[in-house]
Amino acid sequence: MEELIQLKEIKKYFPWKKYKYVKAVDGVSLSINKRDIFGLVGESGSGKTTLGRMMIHLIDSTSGSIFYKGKDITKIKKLEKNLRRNMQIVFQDPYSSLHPRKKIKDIIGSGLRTHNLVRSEGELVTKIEQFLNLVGMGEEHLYRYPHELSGGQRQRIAIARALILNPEFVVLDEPTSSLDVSVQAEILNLLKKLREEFDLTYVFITHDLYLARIITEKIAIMYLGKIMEYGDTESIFKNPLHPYTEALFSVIPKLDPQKRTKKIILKGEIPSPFDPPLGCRFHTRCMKKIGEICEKVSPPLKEVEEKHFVSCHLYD
Amino acid sequence: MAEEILLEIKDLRVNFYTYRGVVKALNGVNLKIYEGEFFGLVGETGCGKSVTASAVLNLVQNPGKIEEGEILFKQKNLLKMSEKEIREKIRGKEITMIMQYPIAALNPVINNGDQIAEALIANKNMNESEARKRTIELLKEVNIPQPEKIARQFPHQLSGGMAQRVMIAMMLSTEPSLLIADEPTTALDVSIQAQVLSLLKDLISKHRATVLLITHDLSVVAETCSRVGVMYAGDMVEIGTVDQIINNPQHPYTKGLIKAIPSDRSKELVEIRGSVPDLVNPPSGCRFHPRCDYTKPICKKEKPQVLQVEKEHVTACFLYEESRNKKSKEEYAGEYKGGANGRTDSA
Ligand SMILES: Nc1ncnc2c1ncn2[C@@H]1O[C@H](COP(=O)(O)OP(=O)(O)OP(=O)(O)O)[C@@H](O)[C@H]1O
Ligand SMILES: Nc1ncnc2c1ncn2[C@@H]1O[C@H](COP(=O)(O)OP(=O)(O)OP(=O)(O)O)[C@@H](O)[C@H]1O
Ligand SMILES: [Mg+2]
Ligand SMILES: [Mg+2]
Repeated sequence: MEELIQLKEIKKYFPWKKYKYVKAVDGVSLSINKRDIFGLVGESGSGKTTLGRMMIHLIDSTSGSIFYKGKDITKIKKLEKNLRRNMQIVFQDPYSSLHPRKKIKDIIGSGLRTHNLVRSEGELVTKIEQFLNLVGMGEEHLYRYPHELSGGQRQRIAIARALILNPEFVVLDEPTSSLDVSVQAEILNLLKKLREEFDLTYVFITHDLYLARIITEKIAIMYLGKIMEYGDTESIFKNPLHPYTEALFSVIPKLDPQKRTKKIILKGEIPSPFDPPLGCRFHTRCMKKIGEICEKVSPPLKEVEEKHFVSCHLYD
Repeated sequence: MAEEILLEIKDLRVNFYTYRGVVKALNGVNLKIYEGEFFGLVGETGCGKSVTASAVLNLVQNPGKIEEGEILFKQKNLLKMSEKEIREKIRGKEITMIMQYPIAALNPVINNGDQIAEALIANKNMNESEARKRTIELLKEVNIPQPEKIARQFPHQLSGGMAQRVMIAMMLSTEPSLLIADEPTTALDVSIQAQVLSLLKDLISKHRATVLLITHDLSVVAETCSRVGVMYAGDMVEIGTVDQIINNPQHPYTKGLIKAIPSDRSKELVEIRGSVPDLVNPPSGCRFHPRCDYTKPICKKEKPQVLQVEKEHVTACFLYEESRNKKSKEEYAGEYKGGANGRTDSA
């Protein structure tokens, strides 16, 4: 398996007023192989979007390294065009991510023009039509505006726009969270098909654990800017090791009564990212806290089972 | 113990007169809610869940109009009451509603404590000091840490989960018989959703209230409700106990929905082809027919009748009618002839 991207101790601190920082991502290390669908899962504010955007150099990191095919992209000011084209993103909200006054043709085609990937207008249109068809839409949409499309259709346009540049790596930031479930199923199946067709590598951001289970092969569970647990999706679902993961799994509503276990209802709310708890980020809400060590020492990510990493003192 | 009907909606039709045309939002909805139950209403965006709720409170917004139907609450038709009567006796008193975005529903310039206290003074004839005392008790009851401090803060200073608790405290302050919760946890994280739902369940059983829970999340319904109604494009397509709907769904839309949602059951997601229709021009006959895998000629022509599947379980689908007719005619000789609900009243 060939590694595509590797993160080492990556951090993002957003400055906030004087002397204050939001520690949005606070020391994340992980590696993603080519053709993986890698899930970033976590509750709101855990740093998923920030991490995803750093991976494709949409925002700078505060410290740490990101190796893309062996090259540290955090050291580069501006990505060379080729690398830029290789890394694409699909945003959460199909209603605000498409320019309202541009026609679908221009929305999908603008990247092709800036990267000089087409030689003539004719070639441009042919290519756009090809990608419209690929995402299951007809040529009749070429000259329409985003407001004339449904949410699912808009998200298809956003996907076409990302894929037409023939990228290798696509960050999908909650691509279906604003869509209806029947439409969501359609978009997910489309994304899976396109991965096969173009040998893509995805980072799939979601807060829906069952959705992550269906689409991803590996997941990282994030909490307050840190990874709590990461590894093969199935292995994490079968055997969640971190108390936070365990609690999350216990409270996701389930259809089948037999699958319900005793709910572990976490106390309180997620602490503020301005001054997150010292030691383990989760200790203020943890039901398995072992003692002072949890308050003082930040647990390192440790491989507890094969390819299954956990950051928790229970496994010291 | 006989179960009393608290709310009965009969053949409710609501249209919105927009510049694009008439949105036929509710196409004859029937529903009964029994005293003390947790009833779930599910369906995708735009199927009419919120409009149903607002009709119950006589709050259908302009350009909407209730065209037809009855809404019987404790046997009285709310649609025949004057706005004054509803305001004085029903809305915010007998029936209260909590919404998806509590921060927007709370008054931004009044502190959290006073919002509740004012409701108590207005509805419960309390004086100011009684109301303040009761407010703190209520905030404690919804597990708000440091209730005195939170009472002095304003809604925008609250997190989503906290704001929802304040909202619940406020709704419970008037001891309503019916609480309508429209997507109360949709904007919340799972860990907070779990807190709020478990709180809601505890409080409801303690206060003996009845809940109409509106959500698009069938798993939430499966965990919290006793019965559930599935809506599609302004029609109630199936009603049953949670077990009947989850394990023995009859309507193709219900079946499709269960397979399309990521859940503990799904290994992959099965699409429901097509999309929800524009209700300015809803499909003829059964509104689901363009997306259905089993469409027959009659589905395009006629609106399917509501048929009883078993006790408490009804569905409106020609496919079911056909398969049932095939099975045996005599078996069902004593066919249920009531409205669209899962129970026969006087059987
Ligand atoms: N540009 C910014 N300036 C300041 N703070 C920011 C900025 N972007 C994000 N944050 C903060 O960083 C933290 C992580 O945010 P991020 O958007 O990455 O979370 P997320 O996991 O994607 O959450 P969600 O599920 O809500 O999308 C949050 O506390 C957020 O408020
Ligand atoms: N003020 C309005 N003007 C015009 N049409 C409206 C109005 N309010 C609702 N509708 C229409 O009525 C139908 C039902 O809407 P409703 O809000 O009840 O859906 P819902 O099931 O609550 O959906 P959601 O899950 O998105 O909240 C939709 O087709 C909607 O477009
Ligand atoms: Mg995000
Ligand atoms: Mg609604």
